[in-house]
Amino acid sequence: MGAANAGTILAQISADGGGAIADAVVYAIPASGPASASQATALMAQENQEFTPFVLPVQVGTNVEFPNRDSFRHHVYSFSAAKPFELKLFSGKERQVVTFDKEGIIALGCNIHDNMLAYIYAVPTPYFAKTGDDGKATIANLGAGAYTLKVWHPTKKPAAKKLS
Amino acid sequence: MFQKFQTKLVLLFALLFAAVQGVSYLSVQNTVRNNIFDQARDQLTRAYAVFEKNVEDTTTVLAEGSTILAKDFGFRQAVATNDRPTIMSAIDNLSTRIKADRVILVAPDNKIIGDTGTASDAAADGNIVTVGEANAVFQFPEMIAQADEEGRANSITVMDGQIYQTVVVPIGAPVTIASLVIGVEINTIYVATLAKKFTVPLDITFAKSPAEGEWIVGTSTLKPELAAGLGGALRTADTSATQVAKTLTLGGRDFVTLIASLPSPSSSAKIDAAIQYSLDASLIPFEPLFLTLLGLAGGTLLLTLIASFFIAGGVSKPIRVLDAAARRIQSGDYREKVNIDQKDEIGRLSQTFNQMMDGIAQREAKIEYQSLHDPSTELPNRLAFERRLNGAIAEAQKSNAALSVYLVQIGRFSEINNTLGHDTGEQLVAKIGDNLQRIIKQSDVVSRHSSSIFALLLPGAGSNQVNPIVERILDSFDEPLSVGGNAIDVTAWIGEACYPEHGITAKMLLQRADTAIFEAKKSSQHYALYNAQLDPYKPERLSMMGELRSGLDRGEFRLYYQPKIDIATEKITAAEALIRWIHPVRGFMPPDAFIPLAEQTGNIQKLTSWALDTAIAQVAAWKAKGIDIKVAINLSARDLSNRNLPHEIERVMAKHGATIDQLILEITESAVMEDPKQSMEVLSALNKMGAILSIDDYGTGYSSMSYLKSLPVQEIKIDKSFVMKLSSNKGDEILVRSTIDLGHNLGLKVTAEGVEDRAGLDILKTYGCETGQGYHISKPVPAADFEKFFLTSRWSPLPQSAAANA
Repeated sequence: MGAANAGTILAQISADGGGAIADAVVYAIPASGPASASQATALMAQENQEFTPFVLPVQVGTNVEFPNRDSFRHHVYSFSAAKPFELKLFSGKERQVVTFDKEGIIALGCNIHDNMLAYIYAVPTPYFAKTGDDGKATIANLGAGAYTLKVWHPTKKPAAKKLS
Repeated sequence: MFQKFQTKLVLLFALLFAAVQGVSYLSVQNTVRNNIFDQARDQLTRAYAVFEKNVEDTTTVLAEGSTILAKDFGFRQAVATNDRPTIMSAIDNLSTRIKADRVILVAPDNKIIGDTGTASDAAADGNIVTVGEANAVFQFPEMIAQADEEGRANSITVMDGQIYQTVVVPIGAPVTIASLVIGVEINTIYVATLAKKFTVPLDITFAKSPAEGEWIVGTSTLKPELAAGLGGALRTADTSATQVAKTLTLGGRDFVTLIASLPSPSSSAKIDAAIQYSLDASLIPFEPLFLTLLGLAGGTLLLTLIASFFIAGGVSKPIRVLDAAARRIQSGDYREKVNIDQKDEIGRLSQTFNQMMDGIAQREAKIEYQSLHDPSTELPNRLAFERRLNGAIAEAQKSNAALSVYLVQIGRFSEINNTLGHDTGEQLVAKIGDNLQRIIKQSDVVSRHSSSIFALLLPGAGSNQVNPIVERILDSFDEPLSVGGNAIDVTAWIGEACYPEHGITAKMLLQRADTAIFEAKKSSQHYALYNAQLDPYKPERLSMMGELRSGLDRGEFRLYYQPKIDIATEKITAAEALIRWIHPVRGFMPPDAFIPLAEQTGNIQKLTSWALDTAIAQVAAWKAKGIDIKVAINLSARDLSNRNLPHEIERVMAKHGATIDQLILEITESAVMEDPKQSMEVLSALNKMGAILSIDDYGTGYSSMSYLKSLPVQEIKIDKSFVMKLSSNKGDEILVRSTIDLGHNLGLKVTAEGVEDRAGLDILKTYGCETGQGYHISKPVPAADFEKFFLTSRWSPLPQSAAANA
């Protein structure tokens, strides 16, 4: 983990063996208490029978839109305790928004396509970032103060997709 | 039991036949078994494929059914939201649909969320069992992991003691939120169903196969008692090579077995399956064939036994006949011939047997004849004679009869052999044998007893009269016998012994007859009947011989001296030393009682030696005292055959300082005649030494004047029987006178013994007889008495004054 400088955190996440870990969520919780709920929006698209992005960190309260960019239907669901939901989606026709108002990991699946898997990670802070393929992430615009820095990353990758 | 040839042969046939039958039966059985084994292997290989497919199919059914449920959105939602009633009803529904015996829902942390329990549990409450235990954990986490990775895992597992074919599928939402474990119990129904899918009857067994040791049989189509044995028969070490058919024996029955290795979780007991094909069951269709074969074998074996019994009987019967014949030969019976009317080898063998019997009988007869006959005379030999004699004795014993045994000895036989040769000797004996046979009766026995002795066995004639045959035999020797151009003069003596008075055994009679020959030789008649009194071999006489020897050592013998006077001067000139035995028990023993005995037994030499020593010592002692006389000592026939005698006399004389002119040696005619050649040698030597030799007892033997002339003697001593009655018997007077004249004519001096009276002495003086001896002068007296007599009597040669002074 990188050093926390005033205003910016540069994090480098690597596995025990030394390899860089992508799609890890790094977030800093200010000691002053939780920030107010976000009004921001985010996207979790379905494209080529895959969720994109694989990991989507959001601040609690963020509205996430699930656009279907495929020509066929998806049935996005989550049984995760933070946000169970179910969206029967048709390509391009409907705009579906889900507000993630609870902190936690939300595993996303498609009832039609078993291989599809994605995670939405709702964090109680606006200061978060996701590592790239190089395992690096940067949290900017940090106010002065003490923070608790946390990291999470999914263990399971989506299965290879089966295309008919 | 197997002694008989026939039995052996029958047994051999039977064994051979049984062996052939047995081998062919076993070979048929083996071929059948091998075929069945090959068949079984093929069947098993096919069955194995069926088995694998069946397991796979079951797995597929389970996997597909459970996957459908695992993917069901509602079910996943129920699991995700822990909607237990929904979950359980879905599981129940699934188990019914795919005929699963057990369904378990497992959380990602391996904790069991729900479990239908074992089939028996389910049957008990008819419902799903919810595992209440907080810590219930699924035993095979590796299956969960594998299912998570691969979407499915399948294994044969053991849960709660039951074997299951087990499939695990994950429930993805979309990450795995739980796993479904679906199991089909491998129970008797399972295996029975499975077994039905095989085209041939096979047994299938699922069993735990631990890394080492026996298998633990789980479920099996085998009967329980056979299944129990399978665990022992299967050892992991033996079954490491799976899919290779091998034969196992269970409960005495053979099973071709194939081992199917099944996937098992590493944390579970390993389960394998054995697929088995019963060879014995497969052999059942062949049983009638085997029974037929056995029946055929038994039947033909019986026929063989019967046939071989008769064949063997045909062979062994003549052998038994020959065996019996051989036994007869062994016991010496050659009369009964072997009668086998066959043209084959056995027939020829029996012919040979008969010839052999004849040959043996002839040879035996010949050997017996030779062993009992003398080859020269063809007469029975000693052995045969003794047998006949023993037989005759036995007969005589029964009938109280008497027997006579005669021994006829031929004189000079060794001389004849030496001079004319052995062949001539044997011809002579043969001729004598012929003569003897002619003389005796046909029923009497004559045999050759030894080289010069014939033995005759005649019925007893009574011992008080001589059998005229004796006369005839002796007469037959009167004429010279003509043998090989030689006319041979043969002398013979006959000794007789009678049964039972002289002996009751053959041996004793022959010995006594032999003793009688000894007496016969002394007799002018050339014949003697055994006389116990004269028998030196009679026990009491033998004991006396022993006493005689010890008596000499103990000094029981004395020499008595009888004076001899010069008849012309009537003065003592000599003394005859006469031996006396003062026996400690018997008292005074006359010389006649022991001298002949000593002569016969060879003790006379000892006696002579003692007498010589004593007499010479005495005469030397006397001379030292002025008693200058000669001493006369008697020599026996034995002494005359002792070449050493002259040296001995010389030695004794030297020892006592006597001179030879003091010695007169008296010898009898018969003593000289016994071995004339040897006697002549000894006498010549003594004569040379200067000893005076005198013929004793002259007139009693067959004195031949011409022979007497050739002897180196200086004196004859007329026997006392002629002298004693000289004064009263005219005949004796003439005889004495002519004898004296004859002696003088031959240049010999004459001594007369037995001078009993003055008249006799005067007659002798008239005739010019030189020396006189007899009771008229003095009887024999001990040395001391003689000394006194010499000095004091009127016969003393000393002057009367000297005699008176002494």
